[in-house]
Amino acid sequence: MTFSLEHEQEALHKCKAGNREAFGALYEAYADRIYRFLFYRAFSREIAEDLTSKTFLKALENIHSYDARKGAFGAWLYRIARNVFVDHYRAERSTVDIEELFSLGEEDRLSERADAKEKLRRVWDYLQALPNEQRNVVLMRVWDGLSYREIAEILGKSEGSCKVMFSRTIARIKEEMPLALAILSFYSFS
Amino acid sequence: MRISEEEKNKIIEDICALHKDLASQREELRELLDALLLLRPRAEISDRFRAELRDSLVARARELSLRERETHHRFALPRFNYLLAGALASLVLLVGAVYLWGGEALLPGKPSVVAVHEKMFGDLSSREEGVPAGEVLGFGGAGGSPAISAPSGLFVAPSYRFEYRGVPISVPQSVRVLRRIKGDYASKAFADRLRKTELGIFDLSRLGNPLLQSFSLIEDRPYGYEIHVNLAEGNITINQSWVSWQGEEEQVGMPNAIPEDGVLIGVADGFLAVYGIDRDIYDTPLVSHDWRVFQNDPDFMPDALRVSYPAMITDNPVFESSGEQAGLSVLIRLRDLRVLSLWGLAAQSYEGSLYPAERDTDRLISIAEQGGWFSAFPTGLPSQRSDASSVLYLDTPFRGYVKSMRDREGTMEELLVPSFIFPVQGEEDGSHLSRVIVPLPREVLDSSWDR
Repeated sequence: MTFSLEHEQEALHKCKAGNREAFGALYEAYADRIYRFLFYRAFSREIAEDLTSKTFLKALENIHSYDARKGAFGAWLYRIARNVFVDHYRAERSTVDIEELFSLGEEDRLSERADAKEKLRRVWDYLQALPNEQRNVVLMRVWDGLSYREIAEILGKSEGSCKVMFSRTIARIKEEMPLALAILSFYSFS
Repeated sequence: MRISEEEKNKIIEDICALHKDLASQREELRELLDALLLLRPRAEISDRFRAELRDSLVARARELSLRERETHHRFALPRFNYLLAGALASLVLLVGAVYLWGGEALLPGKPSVVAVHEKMFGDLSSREEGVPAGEVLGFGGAGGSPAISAPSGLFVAPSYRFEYRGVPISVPQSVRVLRRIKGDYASKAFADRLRKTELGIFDLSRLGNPLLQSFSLIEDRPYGYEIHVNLAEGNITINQSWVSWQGEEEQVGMPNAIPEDGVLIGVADGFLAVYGIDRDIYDTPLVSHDWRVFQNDPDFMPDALRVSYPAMITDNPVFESSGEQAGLSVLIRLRDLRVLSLWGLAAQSYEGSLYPAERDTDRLISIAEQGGWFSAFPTGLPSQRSDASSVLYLDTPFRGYVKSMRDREGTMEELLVPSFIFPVQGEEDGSHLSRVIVPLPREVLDSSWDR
């Protein structure tokens, strides 16, 4: 069964009317996405699970404060996840070693090619060196597959400024790393 | 999750729209996007974590909902200052609230199961060192978390044996044990209403955290009923009100014949309809003819017969620890087809917790062939079964629940234990002798049967 916007609104209405059991439907609809969002930033299954639990628990307990006039429920949930992540990592490391990332990568075959790994390392290092906000926008758009509108709601910015920030960052990476990408182009990506 | 080509194109076009100089470098932009996607870790939420978190959230949600309703109701009722107004309001609220309270039933009849953490109800065996199987504490008793085990001491050994003739069986890794949620909340909510009533000779509002355990209502009319609502246990019973039935016993006399089952079921259905009791949540009703098993006198005729509405939880039948099918019972006097009493009407909200199941099917069948949950059957069985050499064949089992009460920290808990129900071939009379029950949680089996 697909979870439509109508289902979401119905579940939200029930939750706000005091029937919090209806939150189960919202959890089912967003569990995968929120987990991935946190995993992409924590790079650890254990931490991602812990932060996913905290995110949904906070959402459940504060559902009465969600105001549909201020944005979509999904964006509200992502914002909680982001805050939970920031709280968790406030005093922790903010960078991830590329080897660690390779071990978690989607394309196992690539991690076996030393030359490709080297180029990816440069892309990754560049990403890591970006200011937090720019890196976040890139990851939200490309890894999380969020729309500019959703990103804007999560970050509390305008849709236009998010689009400009993303485009500028990609343009800069492309400009500064043309060689790194040349070798990667030998591989067919889907 | 992969990003689609369409989505990639959209991203690229957005960039090119803002940076005209990149319009001729679409391929390079695509390669950069591919590189970024290549760096994305593989992230799959595990089914186990997903289910566990869901259980926790549902339990927390329930807790929050109850707290909110309680707070809301406490402040919702205006204070009545007149004795009559208070008494009337309380009566109306008491009766009405049993069925509906702010749109939701306080004693919900429709079965519902809220999943909670694995092994949430504690150790089901709690068998002490050195205590042999079958001698553990089973029902009631003191100390810690008493085990659920096969009833003992009530029956004598059977004079026949069972033999399994069904197809090979399989068992899932874990099974969900259910615990009935009783009416604690209702008890509190009712008491909060009552304490606002001006009794005159006693100030109920002075009571500290009162809980209304139960109350009774009597219909003041000929052939009226007495309705007893036990909020603490979350159940309701109905009996004939002796005041309004007084003196008519002699006029009724004895029944002439036993009515058809369909007639009795029709009477019971009508009674449920009058009192707004939902019969759709039960399986097909049947008339209990257990009396025939114990009564050898061919001239014997019962005064009343029971119509049973078998309980179904998540599409599985439920059995009493005695082996009888559990559910709603309506007792009907045969002479004039009046309902005498009703029992087994209970709130049907449960918590469900997973426990490891016994997957050794040879052991399950062996236990079934020993008589299952009952190590023996009552005396006074039909004569054809008293032959020590007789063999009863067991058919392929189906899944069901068996009720089990246990004393946990001074509170009686009602657990529904997932079990295999082995039908006894040729014994389809619906009585408790027509089936052999074998519980599936390994802990329960270990409490009662040696490996």
